[in-house]
Amino acid sequence: MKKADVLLISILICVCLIFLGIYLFNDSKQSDVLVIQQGSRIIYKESIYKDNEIQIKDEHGKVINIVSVKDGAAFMSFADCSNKDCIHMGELKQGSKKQIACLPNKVLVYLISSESEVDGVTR
Amino acid sequence: MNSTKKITISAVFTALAIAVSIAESFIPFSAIAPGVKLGMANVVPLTLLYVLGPAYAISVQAVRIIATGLLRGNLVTFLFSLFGGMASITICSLIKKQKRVEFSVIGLSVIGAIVHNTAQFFTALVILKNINIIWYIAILTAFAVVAGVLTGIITKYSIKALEKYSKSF
Repeated sequence: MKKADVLLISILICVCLIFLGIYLFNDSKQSDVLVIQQGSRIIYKESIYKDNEIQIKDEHGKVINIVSVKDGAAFMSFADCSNKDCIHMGELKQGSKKQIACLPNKVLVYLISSESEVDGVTR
Repeated sequence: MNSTKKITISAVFTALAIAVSIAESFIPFSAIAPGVKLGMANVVPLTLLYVLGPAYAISVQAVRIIATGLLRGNLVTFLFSLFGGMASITICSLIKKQKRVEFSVIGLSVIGAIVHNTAQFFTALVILKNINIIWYIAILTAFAVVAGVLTGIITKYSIKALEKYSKSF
């Protein structure tokens, strides 16, 4: 490896650590509203404590994803794509900062704070 | 090397890249973190970039992405691999061409992996229009550095092997 390689890798590791630091200290305990986004459109917005099973359909009406909400936890319970990454992304609970994404189906599931009525997340 | 030999090597390597792309999708890297991949298929264009030059590397990458896209996945996954893959090999070619800062194969492979991720992030941003996905990309970038180093080491050996082989006839 050359000097430039070592420098490049060090810079990248630092950038990742900074991002991770901001991510971990960015408090969002209040977020308890589940939002499901398909493409850039919000198709569902309800409290995470309201048990539900949301079917997400494509333009032909075929069910492509199912999001289950049970006992304050939301998870992807069905996906028609091949890799099933979104099912393996686990659960969202109050305060969760992570998102569940099913990119082949353009579906994104995340939590926002109930206090901010104005949706500051989606532009 | 004459052009017949070059084209033959490109054809064999395109087939190899398609096979590797598909084989890799059966390895459950997603157990580490969803979306994580080693990116073994990028060894092929990077090797060709060193042995045959940028034109061959970029063409092989394009054919690989189109062929893999036709064999599996949907339009969205195709767009992801198209933007990621083409941005990656193009930037790598440009960086290798400039002589101001010189990177080794490993450094170039890391750059390729990062560019791949970043291009896919912008694709996701256009589709979802939600800036918060940047957090997940930060995590994936950390894995991209590791994957880039690993594929870089593999590329180093594959360049050596191909150069030795192409001299033998």
